[in-house]
Amino acid sequence: MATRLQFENNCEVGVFSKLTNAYCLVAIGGSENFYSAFEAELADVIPVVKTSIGGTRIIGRLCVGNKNGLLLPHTTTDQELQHLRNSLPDQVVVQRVDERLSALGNCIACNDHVALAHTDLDKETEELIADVLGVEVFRQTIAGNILVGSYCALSNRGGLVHPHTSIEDLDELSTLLQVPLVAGTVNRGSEVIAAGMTVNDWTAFCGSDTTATELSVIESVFKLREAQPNAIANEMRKSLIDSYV
Amino acid sequence: MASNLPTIAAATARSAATTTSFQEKHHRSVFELSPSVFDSCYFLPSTHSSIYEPNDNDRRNVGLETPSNNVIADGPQDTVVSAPRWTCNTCKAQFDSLQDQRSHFKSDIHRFNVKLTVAGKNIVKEEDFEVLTSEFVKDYDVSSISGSESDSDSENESQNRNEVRDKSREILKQKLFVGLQSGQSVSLWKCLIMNMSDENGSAENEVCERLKSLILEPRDNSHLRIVLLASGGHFAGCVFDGDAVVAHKTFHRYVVRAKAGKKQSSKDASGRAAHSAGASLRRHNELALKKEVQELLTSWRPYFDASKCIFINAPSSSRQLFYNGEKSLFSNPHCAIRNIPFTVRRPTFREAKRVYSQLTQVSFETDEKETLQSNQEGLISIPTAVRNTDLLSSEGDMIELDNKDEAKASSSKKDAQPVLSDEESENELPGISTPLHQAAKSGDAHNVMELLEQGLDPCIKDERGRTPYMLANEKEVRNIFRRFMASNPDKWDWHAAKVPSALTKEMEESQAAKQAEKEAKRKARAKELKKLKKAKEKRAQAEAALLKNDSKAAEKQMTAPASSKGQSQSKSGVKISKEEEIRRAQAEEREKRAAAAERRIAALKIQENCSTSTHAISEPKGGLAGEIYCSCCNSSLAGKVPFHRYNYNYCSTSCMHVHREFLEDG
Repeated sequence: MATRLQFENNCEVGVFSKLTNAYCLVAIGGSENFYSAFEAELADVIPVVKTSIGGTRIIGRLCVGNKNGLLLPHTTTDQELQHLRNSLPDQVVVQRVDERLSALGNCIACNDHVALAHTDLDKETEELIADVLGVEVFRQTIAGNILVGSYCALSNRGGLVHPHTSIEDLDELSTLLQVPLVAGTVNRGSEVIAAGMTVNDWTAFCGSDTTATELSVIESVFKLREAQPNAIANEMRKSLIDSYV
Repeated sequence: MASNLPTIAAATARSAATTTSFQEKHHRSVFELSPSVFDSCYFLPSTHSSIYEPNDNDRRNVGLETPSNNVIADGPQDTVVSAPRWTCNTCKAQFDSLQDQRSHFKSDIHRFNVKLTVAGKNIVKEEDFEVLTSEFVKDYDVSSISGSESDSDSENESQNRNEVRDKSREILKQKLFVGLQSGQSVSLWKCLIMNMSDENGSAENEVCERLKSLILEPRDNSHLRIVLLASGGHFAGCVFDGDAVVAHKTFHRYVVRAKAGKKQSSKDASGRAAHSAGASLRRHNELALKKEVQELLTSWRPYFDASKCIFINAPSSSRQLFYNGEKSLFSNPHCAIRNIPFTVRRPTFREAKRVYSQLTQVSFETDEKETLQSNQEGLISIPTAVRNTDLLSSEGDMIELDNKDEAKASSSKKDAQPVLSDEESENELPGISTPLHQAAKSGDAHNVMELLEQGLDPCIKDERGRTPYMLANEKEVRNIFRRFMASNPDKWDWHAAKVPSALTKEMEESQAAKQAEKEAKRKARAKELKKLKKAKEKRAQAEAALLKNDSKAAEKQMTAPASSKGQSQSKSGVKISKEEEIRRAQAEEREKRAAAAERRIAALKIQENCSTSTHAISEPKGGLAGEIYCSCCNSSLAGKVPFHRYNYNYCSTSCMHVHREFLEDG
């Protein structure tokens, strides 16, 4: 299920956190409330790590990662790098990237299999992404925006993209990425999807401004309801009733 | 990924192969042609069906104008497209499989196209991309390049790409279209054989002769052609004999102000001379470049003497590099100096060679060939540029002429009417001005009628998309169009010609009747107005006369008010109210005056009576202070109630007191 929360009265929770299937990063120094919301949802399953990147709290926009690895910008300090290496599971590769564009989270959108990347990224960075994250990297724009990382949120089950994305582009992207995509908004109409939410395969965190409609779209496209225990029963009931009638 | 590579490579190889074959087929240096090619050739009007198709990079530009078609056509048409379509909307491409699509999205061309799209530019196609990249690699790191300028140059180039679209029409004018005996038609640059000045005047035969002699020229360094390019501190000079390079030299000096642009000298000329180290460096370099170029050109003197033609591209102030020497370099009378009619990039040896190969290349026009072959009626081509249906009568003439006469005659006839373009070209191009446009614009109604009757199309739009009707600024001319529309409602698409409605005889008659009616009304109204005016004047005169009489009457009244009173009243009864009022006021005044006069007269009479009666008893003093006069101030007491003291009368008590004191003081 999707959870609504705030970071110090700010709804852009995707900026201050990074959620993947193998770990969750949370900005340090915020209220304990924010951290505990993640803890409550994820603590049994994946580690929730408090960290800063390059001394800032906007960790969600600076780093990019999935269950295989984590890429950090060149601004990351050695201490931070060490802290993350210590805190994250062993199978997660943590790597610092020498890339001119330091907001990797804004430039790259990925799930565990594919990644969309900014067109101006270096070839070496592209190779690093492919190697560390174990994904295929495609250079593409979303609704004409080159900051693909900001304007879409991807999981292995679905994706939410910029509301101005055309239907053709949606089709093309979803065949390319092999996940169903929907154009939508978060935080009461914000088109900066990734800043307003963070998502993995079974849960999502959205800004507290997110409306019920937006939340239902998010839950349906990322198939978060099916992750619930009663999902199977629902499925079965459907088929039963179908045959009954 | 690895499995995709061969397919891409194969595809690019294939496209490369097709482009080269295309090139071989359609572009050839004029010097490679067999000597008899231009035998009995004739000139075609510059039909617009053949768009400027120079080789390599320029063709890339043309490709840019129609970005999508080819790639889509290249795509798999036979594959059954099921629900998921593997496409790239950015590059307008379709793919056979997800694999292909994914590899495309990883490719450089896709990345390049995405960048172009984001920057708001047109995408490039795969084969063009090959050329582009190879050129970027090859062209941009050779002969006399300062690396600093590569950026600005690529910008210029992209600008040029846009300009090409606008210029393609102008370029058509710069080209010469020749129909060969074999039925093919070719195009070449006019400036190769003609000067701009004699372009119109030179007879066809002469041009033909020049073409033939061009091919038959001996290649023994006696008929050289020289290309001189100069711009922005770069100079490239190259001497060609036929297709072979005889000599070449390039210079580069740092003269252009980085970022600010323009040469140092032009900056200095603007008034504020900079005194920086860079500025003086650039000044020195400009002089040095000029000196170098002059020295080179002097040393090339023998080449200049042996040259047939010099092609120059030196925008603005760069030109003085060539002309400012002490002795004129281009004094050879047989040598023509011509401008290069297309865009030239940074002067390098490679660019000079490219320019020369462009200039000397002969393009075979494919469209033309087909159309010619399709209606080959004894080689005397019916001009494809003439719209068959439009010109039934005049074309009939032409065909007869053709049959009787030589082909040249026909082509000259065609030249005389270069404006009649065929339908396709009309669709492709914005339009051209026809004689009908000119006639309509000049307001020559008779001529317009004649042209319309000849069958000229009123739907043709000129360069600015205006039909002849829209150009007509005189009513009569517009009426001609409308009348013609009324008589031939189905001949043209009058809606397209922007003629609003037909003007039939009946309509005209009714309009004339209406006009006449209006005129009559207007006249009647004018007459009425005149009458009214006259009446007014008369009345004004009468009033003036009356006023005179009145004033006289008033004078009379003064003397004999009683008698004139009745008269004036009776008269005033006739007057209109206002005058009556004035009159009444005047009369009242007069009456008042008259009354006052009567009173005065009466007072005088009383005074006389008093003086006579009181004369006997009055003292010498009392004479002065009589009963009627104040004894103190001597003012008249007529009409006043006097104050009495003793025998004295006073006008006021104060006078009485004063007089008393006076008397007591004695």
